[in-house]
Amino acid sequence: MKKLSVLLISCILITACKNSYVSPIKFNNHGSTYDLAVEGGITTFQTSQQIRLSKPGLLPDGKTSPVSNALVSVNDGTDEIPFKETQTPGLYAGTIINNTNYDGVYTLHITYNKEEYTAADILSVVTPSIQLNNLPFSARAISADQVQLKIPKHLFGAPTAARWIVIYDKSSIINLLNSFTVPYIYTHQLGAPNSLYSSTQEFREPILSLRDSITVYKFSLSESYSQYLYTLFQETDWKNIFSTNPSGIYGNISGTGQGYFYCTDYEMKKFAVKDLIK
Amino acid sequence: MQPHLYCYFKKQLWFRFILIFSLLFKLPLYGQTNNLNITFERSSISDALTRLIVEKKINLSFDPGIIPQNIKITHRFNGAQIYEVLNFILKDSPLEYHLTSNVIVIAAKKKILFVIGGFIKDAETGEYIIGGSIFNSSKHLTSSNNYGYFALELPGGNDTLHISHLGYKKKEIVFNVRQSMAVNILLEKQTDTLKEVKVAAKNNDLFVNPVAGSSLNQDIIWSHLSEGGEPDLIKSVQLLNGIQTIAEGSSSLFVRGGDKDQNLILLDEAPVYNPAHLFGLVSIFNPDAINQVQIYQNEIPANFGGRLSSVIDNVMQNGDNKTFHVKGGLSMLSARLAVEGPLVSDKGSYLFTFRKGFTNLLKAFAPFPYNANYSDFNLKLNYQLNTNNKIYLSGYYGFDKLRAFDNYDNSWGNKIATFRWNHLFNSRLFLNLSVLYSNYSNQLNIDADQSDAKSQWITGIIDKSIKADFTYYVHNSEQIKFGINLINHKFIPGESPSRFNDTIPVNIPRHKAIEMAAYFNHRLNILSDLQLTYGLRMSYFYNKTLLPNGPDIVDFYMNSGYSDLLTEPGKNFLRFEPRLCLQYNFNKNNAMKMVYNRNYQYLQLVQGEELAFSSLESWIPASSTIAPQMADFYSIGYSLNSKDIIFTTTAYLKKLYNQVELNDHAQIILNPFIESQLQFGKSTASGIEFSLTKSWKNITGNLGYTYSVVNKQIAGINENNTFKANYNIPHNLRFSVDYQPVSRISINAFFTYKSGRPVTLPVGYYIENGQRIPIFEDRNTSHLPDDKRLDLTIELKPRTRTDHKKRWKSTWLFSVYNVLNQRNIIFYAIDHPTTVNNLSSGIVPSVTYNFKF
Repeated sequence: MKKLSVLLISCILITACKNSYVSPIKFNNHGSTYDLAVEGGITTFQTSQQIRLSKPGLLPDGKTSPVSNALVSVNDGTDEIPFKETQTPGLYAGTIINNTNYDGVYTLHITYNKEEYTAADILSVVTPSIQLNNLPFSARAISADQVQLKIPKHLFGAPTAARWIVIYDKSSIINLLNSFTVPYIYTHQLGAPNSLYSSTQEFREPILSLRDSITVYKFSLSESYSQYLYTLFQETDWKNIFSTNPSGIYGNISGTGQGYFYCTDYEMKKFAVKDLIK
Repeated sequence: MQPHLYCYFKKQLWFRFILIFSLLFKLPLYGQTNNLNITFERSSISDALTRLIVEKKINLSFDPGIIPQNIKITHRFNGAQIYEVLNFILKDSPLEYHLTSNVIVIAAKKKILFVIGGFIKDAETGEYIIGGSIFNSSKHLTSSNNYGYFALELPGGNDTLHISHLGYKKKEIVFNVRQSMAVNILLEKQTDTLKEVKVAAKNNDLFVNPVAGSSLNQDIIWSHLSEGGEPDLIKSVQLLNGIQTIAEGSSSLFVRGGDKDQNLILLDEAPVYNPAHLFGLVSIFNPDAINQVQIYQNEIPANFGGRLSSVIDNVMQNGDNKTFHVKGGLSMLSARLAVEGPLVSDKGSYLFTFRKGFTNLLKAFAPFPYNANYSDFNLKLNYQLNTNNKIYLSGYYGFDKLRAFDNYDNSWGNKIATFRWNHLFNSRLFLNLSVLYSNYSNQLNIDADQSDAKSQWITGIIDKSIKADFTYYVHNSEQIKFGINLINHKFIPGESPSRFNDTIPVNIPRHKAIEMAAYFNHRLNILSDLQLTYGLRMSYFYNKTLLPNGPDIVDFYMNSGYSDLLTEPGKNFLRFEPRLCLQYNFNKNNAMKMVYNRNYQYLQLVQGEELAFSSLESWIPASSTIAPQMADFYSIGYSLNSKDIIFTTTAYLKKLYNQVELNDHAQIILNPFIESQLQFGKSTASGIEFSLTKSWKNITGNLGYTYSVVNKQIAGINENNTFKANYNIPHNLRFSVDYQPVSRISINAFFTYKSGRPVTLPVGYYIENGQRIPIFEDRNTSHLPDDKRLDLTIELKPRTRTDHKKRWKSTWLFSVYNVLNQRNIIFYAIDHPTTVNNLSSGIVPSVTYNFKF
């Protein structure tokens, strides 16, 4: 009996809980050919527009590669505007003077590797709503002259779906937009999938001086683009024990093209940091 | 001609000759019935009767085949009446005489059968025992039903009955039956329960248990602890053959290829729509409150309906009707306390249980900074009004509250109540009348992080029902059950109270539905070794959609293409559900069973999770756009049940129709047209199960293996191609050993090995705003690594010198879940193209202390 007790207690004391580990995984073999993914679109923010093309990564290393030598153009409803590849491989640029064709359709045409791809999106006018009482982040004073922002990546149940950018440092909005790695805040019209979401939520929590100011940008989304972004969220940031069955994400690129060609309008306002905590 | 056949025909001819002779010549009955003078000298009864016909012209007929040949008569009658002569001749025989149409007919005495009816109870607590068996020296006679009642036909005279039930000492009762009577049989618990209890209960139902289905009692539930050192009813059910779960920690049940919403889970007959605390880590069933669980996954009697795959029938304890007790315990997950005692000694009792959960284990399991808690209460009252009437009142109230970042709350809970009246019309006819209430609701914050809005998404279902179940004991081997059932459903598939007045409705319309059923179920022996059970359930369902009120609601539905809903008068369905079971007993130990069930299900759980954790339950009814689910189930099985070995095997095929699946990336919150998110198709499940149990002196081993396949084909999913269900887990091996070295110590080791569940892995990635976006193709074409797990549970009962007298009884349970520390994957998220980041359980030691005084 003593031996049994010692064995049991040893068993309990020696062991410890670990919750996660990393294990290798194999890619499935793909049945279709994936040659092209599209990022970017048309914005009312500037006439100079950029579109980035890349080839999806289908090997276990998951590396993507830029798509060069593609024929790219955008129809603004009246004219077909060619986009030229810049010095950056896979990055194509063009100038759309008619970039405020609200409720109008902009159509992307791409010819690459003997395949033609098209995509179309509607330019929705942004709903002006940037006000102190509905900013997509919170602020709190952490000292007499410092304020901490809490900026989430996703918000739910919003009156309209939109993307937001908050600039609180010396970043340039142009540089941010051209970087294709914009720290957007996504406000989804749909509800949070469930309460566990917030526990995996990504936040930025910058500390600002009371004397600082911030600039808030809001970008409109077409209805289909907002749905696309929600499915992206479901397959990426929202992965949890309550996640839905994984399934294909379908943007607006024809054929086996991946990604989404979007049109967006914007609104911008500046706020003094001291006003955020009133 | 064979000699015995020759004798048979000779007897038949002789009988006909006597009968025809007496009728043709119309011999007077009374002409010479008085003053008979006749002498018998070692005459057989046949000879004596023949002489009465021939010599005394008595109009008498008889069948020589029924006349005993070994009785000899010696007597001289002088001036005797005919009845005096016949009484003398027949006095030692099993014969009697009747006067019919001026003919005296000699016939076998009619057996007078008496009905013994009553309840089988636990001698210590007075709890009713379900499925208790009653045998006489030669055969099984009957069993106690789900309410502990039995009825038995016995001929007059002495008979010895053997009453037995798992975990109880066998009892013998010698009856001298002279009249029908009511009797309560008290069984004492076995102190050394290991051998018998563990042997039978770990086998599936087939033929071991006299009541259809498998049963789990307290001993089984306590013999294996779940992740948190909690004895958990649902986790115990998951250990049975044919029942799958796809993730450790989940309370969902996938029974023989059925989906998780296709199990009718009952608590004292009231439906439970979400049996989970802590997203499924713990079931809502407090082990202190449960008496017994009956699981029907093979033969589903016609008195149950409304689900396709199984019935999990939980019966609460009544409470000790003799002595007041306090009991409870402490584990890593919860603290429990219960009180029970007599209301009126031997007539009525009460039981009240309380359980409060801790968050410790959840935090260990989930890498989420959560504040999670749960509580539940059970109450049961019962009172015997008189010999023929007893009433019960039981209730359950439980809730979960979780709070995460930014006031994101999720709370849910069940409210359940049952009132039952048991009435005996006579010893043969038993009635259970139940009035039931079940209310499940779930509230979820959907925009708690919005500074200008706070909305909740509420889902729920409320049932009010009444049912009457009659059991008529025709004979010992023949029983008829019939009854009716009426349910009033109220569905709340999803709504946000703060948004009732939105210009654009976001709430899913409510539904009001009536579900009615009438059934009968007849069990009889068509041959001595062939038992037939057949039944029919007729179900009717009427559903009416209740459109929300609000501004511009008519325009909204007209413009959305759902104008039909504005004029829809309601949809009704009438369906017939036949049930058939044929069992052939080759001999006392070997039997074979064939089963066919057709079931309809009129409500479904709309839940798109890949895994099976409870989160947001949205139940919706069959309607003009959603056909009722249907399943045809076929099985054939064989059972060997010898002294120390029980072997069962069952092969089954289940075809399911009108199966519901959510669209890819479906969104069911703030979406008023939930039906637009559904796709429909069929599913086919098949499998074979083996179970072998062997017991030695103080060791019992059970080996179970299941091979099963579940495929689905749903329009609009996986490009309409067939795909494996998420719960398609082909190989499932279970091995458990119970060892009781001394009476104070029990050790249980449980090992399981099963195939990894199917998963959908990407075929590549593309980049969007710096983030890797997976590209998926076919659904569920890969699978996770196989799961392996070994659990150990040791139960210690402290030694005391006055063991038999002490009032304070306690037990320590030491449990190590996943001793081998296998990283069985619960879920995965792909962080890097070549790796998956898994959440896995790992080893979990725990200690539980229980007491009773």
